[in-house]
Amino acid sequence: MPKSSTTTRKIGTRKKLVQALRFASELEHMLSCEYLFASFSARKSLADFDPGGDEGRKRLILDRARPWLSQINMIARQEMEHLGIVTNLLAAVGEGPWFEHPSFPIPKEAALVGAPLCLERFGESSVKRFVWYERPEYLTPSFPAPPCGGCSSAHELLHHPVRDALGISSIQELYEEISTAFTSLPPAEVFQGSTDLQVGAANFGYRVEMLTVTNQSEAVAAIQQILEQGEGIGDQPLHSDSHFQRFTNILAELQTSTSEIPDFSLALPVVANPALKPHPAGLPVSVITDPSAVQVMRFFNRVYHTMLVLLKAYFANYSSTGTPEPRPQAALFYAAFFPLMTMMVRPLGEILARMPAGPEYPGQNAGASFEVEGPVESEYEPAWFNSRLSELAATARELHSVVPHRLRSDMQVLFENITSTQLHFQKLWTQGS
Amino acid sequence: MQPLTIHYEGYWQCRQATDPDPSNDPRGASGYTFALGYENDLDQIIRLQRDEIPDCDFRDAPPPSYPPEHATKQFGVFVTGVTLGGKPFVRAAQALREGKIRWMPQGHPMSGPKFELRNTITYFPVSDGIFMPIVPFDFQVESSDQAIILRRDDALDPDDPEKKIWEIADYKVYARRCPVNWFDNSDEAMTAVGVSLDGTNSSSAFFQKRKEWLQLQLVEEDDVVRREAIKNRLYNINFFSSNADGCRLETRLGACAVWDFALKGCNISVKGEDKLGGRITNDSDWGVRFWMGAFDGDLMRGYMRGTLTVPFEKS
Repeated sequence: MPKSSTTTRKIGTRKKLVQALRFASELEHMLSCEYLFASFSARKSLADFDPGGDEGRKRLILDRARPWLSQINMIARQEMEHLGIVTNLLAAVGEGPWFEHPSFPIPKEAALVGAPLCLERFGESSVKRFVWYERPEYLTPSFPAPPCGGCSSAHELLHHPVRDALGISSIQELYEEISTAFTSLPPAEVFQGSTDLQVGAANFGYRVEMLTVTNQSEAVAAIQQILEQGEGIGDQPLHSDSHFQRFTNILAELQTSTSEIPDFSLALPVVANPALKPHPAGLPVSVITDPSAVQVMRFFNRVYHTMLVLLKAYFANYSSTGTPEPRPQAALFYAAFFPLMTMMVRPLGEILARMPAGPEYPGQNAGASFEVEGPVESEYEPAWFNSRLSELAATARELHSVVPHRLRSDMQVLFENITSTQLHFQKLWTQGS
Repeated sequence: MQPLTIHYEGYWQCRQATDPDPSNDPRGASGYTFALGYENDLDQIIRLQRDEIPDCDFRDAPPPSYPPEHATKQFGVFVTGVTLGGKPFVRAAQALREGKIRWMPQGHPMSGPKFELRNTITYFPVSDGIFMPIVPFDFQVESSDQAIILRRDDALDPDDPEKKIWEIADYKVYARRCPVNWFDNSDEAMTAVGVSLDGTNSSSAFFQKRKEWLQLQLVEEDDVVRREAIKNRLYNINFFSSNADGCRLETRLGACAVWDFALKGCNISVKGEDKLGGRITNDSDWGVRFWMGAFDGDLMRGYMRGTLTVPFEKS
């Protein structure tokens, strides 16, 4: 781990450490949402192209892009893993999970990643921005960080929370200062959380590398993993599996493909920064007006919010030593990850990328906005979860006739899956397996 | 009455997306299985015969396409023998020689059987292995000339045959239809497809040979679309044979699940039983026991071996 380039510690108290960890949570969370949004926007079958034209070219585009999408989804998953690691760091200092995040977009000065944070469809512009996000600090791309959807450096927030509060101006610096804080602050002051409360790798499969944090060296190792996987910083700079390396490769291949293949348009015409309402700080967003898309967007945000509440309940109440595993814990794990994340949030995001945005956006599609109203609740009553899952199932059933005809089978499967999840969750919480 | 047991084995195909994709993803984006540009969408259906698979969805294997010991040297699940009361029953074995096993409901290929996993939604707990009922289940064995057909289905919930898996709150209702055993490294599964735990026939060597063959196909292929598809397969094998993904392609060759349940359905069809040398009685349920495994993620096909047992009265 390279030593912080600053001579003065910027995180000198536990309170500032918590603040920094919460900001890191927001950042990992929002990066994951951005990468998923780009993936949602990609054409996946011939049906996603306009009718007519060279079918061979379309098939070529689908095959050329599939490895890119595979990597983007993997990187999005690793950002979720990073969020999980930061959640364990928060647990180590005695704080609960932080799954809140501000609305998109975030201007670059406030984003700490050298580029604005925004929801943009897959393409050269978004991938260039991803390269900026993940670059090691000592590398500056020759191309500028692209603006997004009208959100340029001209837009300033009233304040820049992390820079104003901590004097930190990059994500690498943020994590290095967090690492320094863990090793320099008195352990008794920092490690106030129970070691029992952290979710480890044994809970997951498929190479999800969740690290628990119970002491200074484990905290350093956890942060090291985040930086190695992202920027490739570590013993071997520019690690071939780093996000930075993968995104630069994707960008190079995308540029080659664009020049080789006529009209190489992988992404659907999804608007940038779709939203249900104007941005709270007045930043430019695409407020969706198509009534059907609006209904599905509201549903997406409701499902997304439910997933966050489930995750918060899981992480906040987790016990690694409970024997047998507490029924609520098993129920929460059952519902939050594969069902909500994989089988509901992702398909809904893809459905939205295939629905019209509204007459103000001719020829353009809506998209997932990841809007969450207010704090993520701390819930632990099964009645709340059962009621919410039942509501979601009912809504999915209603939306079957709202979405375009070719997407109705997807909505039907969504309805079935939410219904099944609710049935099993209820039984699991109250009766166990 | 004695149990008549029909033995079968062979290759099956299932084109299904894998984690982290949703199980019903039509093309596959992030898992180790996916549809190539010129192939149809992934429909999750398990197919046991070559004539059930459109040509564009059948990927060739490099020569030799089948292990040296493979009985039929062709794709599909075929009868390999018949016993009566545990002893070889020559007459029936001859009548069913090269007979085919099918799981496709007649006339409705799009409602064919699927592994109802739904990314863990339809089962709990995940303690030892995977719960995967195959739904719908409609078992048919037919002689090569179709003079003999034995067919019977089985509902997920025999007390409520129309109920769908996502409507059932208690997974124990269909637990009998889920695997009774699971192996991570099954010698039997690997041997069936010509793979060993180590050495020149290891799972690593298996996919190394696949890569070499695909690389040769790449330099010999002129069609631009086909070339891109080959590159995609090569990328997939490289990535999912690596530690970055826990070598899932290779580990799946050794994975194997065993099913063992009675066929209780009312849709029974028996034709030509006299050619078997007797008649099928109603003294007991029909039963199936089979393992499925050795899944090749590049070809999206695996291997199975099993039995169908029916109550029989020899004439």
